[in-house]
Amino acid sequence: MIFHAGAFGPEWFADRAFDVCVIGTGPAGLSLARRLARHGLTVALMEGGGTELSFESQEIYDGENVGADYWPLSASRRRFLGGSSNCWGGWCRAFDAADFDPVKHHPLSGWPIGKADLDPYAAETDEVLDVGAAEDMPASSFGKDTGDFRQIDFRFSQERLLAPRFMAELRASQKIQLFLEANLVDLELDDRRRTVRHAIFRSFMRPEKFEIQAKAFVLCLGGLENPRFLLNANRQIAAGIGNQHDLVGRFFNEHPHQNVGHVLLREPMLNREFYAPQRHLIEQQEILSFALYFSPVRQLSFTHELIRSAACNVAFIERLAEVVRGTDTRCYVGGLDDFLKQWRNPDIMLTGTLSIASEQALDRESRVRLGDDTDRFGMRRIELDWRYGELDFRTIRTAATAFGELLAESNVGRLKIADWLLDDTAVFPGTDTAQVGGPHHMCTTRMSDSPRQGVVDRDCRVHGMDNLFIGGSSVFATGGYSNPTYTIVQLALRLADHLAVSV
Amino acid sequence: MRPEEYIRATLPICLVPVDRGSTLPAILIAYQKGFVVFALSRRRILGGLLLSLGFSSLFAPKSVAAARDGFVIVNGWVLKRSDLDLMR
Repeated sequence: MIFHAGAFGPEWFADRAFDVCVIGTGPAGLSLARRLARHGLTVALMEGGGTELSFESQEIYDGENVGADYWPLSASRRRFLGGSSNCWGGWCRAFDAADFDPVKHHPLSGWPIGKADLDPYAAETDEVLDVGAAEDMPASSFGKDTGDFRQIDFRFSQERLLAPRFMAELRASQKIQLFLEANLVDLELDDRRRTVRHAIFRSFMRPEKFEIQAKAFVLCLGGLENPRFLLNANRQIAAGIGNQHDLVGRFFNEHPHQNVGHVLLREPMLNREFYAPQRHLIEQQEILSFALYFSPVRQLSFTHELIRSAACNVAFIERLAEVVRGTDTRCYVGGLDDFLKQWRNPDIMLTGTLSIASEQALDRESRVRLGDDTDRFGMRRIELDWRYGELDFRTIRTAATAFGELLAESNVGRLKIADWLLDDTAVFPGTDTAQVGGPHHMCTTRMSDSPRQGVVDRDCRVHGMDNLFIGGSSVFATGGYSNPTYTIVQLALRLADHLAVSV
Repeated sequence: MRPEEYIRATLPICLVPVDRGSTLPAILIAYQKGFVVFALSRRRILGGLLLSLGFSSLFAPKSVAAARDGFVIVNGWVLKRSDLDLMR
């Protein structure tokens, strides 16, 4: 059933109690609520926005970037039904087993759970995200010998917008009551400050607050809003709920996305190929993990290629000499022969680019904190202080160099490393020229068995709280290199099973 | 590569290739512009430039981690060392 929260007064909610109150309707909240309902639990599913993008809801996401150049905070997520699945690119990949393991040169790394804990939820995650079976990977340009790398694949959601797909199910559900325009503003704790008695909400339409009673509460607000809410919830605990060790909002982690170079190809290539490092490369070079996107680019034109043919009809090594010297960059690509190849097979491309999505090191000072400005509900807005460091930069530079060596060694082509990556200032290109980040907001309420190293335990329960849980990428212990949505859903489904036996 | 591009280098001595049929127009244009013209193979031109200008000044390798033995980074390009021999 679906309700607009503003249509009812506080007394209407007073008589209602649920097994679980799920706050947020993105990939985590929706998948969690559906599985809880299948377990027979009653669910209050709370969404701050409506069914469509609106200014009054979206502006609540406004905040300030005070660290590295980053996307406006209200632009990188969506605050209405479906959450940030409404701006999701559809990339899916489960974390590798190694992504959960500690890495000796990466302090605090390592998850308290492993891949085997999430694998049982792969089939349902596929269904939630509408991602089909893995297709055969394209043949590697390097043949079977990919050196320090391993070829990987991504899968893609066929229908990225989750809310429209599940709307009929939500309307018909006897277990899930979805409340729209229900904005979480506080949690009421018991005298011990360990149990949430009820959650307090406000709609856009009414000034009075209303309460939702449940046995358990799950914050699925996103990697920025989860810590924001916990820090704002300081009425009964001055430091904020779950923040007894000053960890809420810290370790903000992204996947730096950057172009790291372009490739002079010896032969045309057909498909985009993805590569990740072999474990030995990570350990020997003491770097983090990453995904490299080796992509063909550029369509050729007859006129240009005719001209280029006259100028560039030379052996590969001579073209290479010209471009290395920088005297003639026209011969990166093309020529009439190549145009005819592409004309016969439009899918092939004659030049390539290399870009990266990299894991980021955990850094306490990379964080979400509260600024002085408040939103319409009096909640302090975010200041995001995103930071990256030497290990992040070295990871990307080493990745590019090692892949360039593979290209040269195999004679597939030669890589020109992007100038910014050779610059000793070690600054990532900003949002004016680069994608910068996923945007993927991770690790801000990270998972750890120790309350001194994480905000939630292995069951996603907030340390020190009996019935408060967190869903979403804020609980990632480390970010890995894979796009987070798939793992977000796996974790949410696992949390549903935990709640089904513990509530 | 077109003949004009060799001339564009503004060297007092113009080196033109003999191996791609562009020798005569290049010589004529260079001569008209007052250059002393030597006709050499393209490989020798590049090798000669490298020698005369100094390898380090033309190909100034930038410091990059993990460039292993057998590879060199030249003006941002990750090359096999043997590439350099072939380019000369």
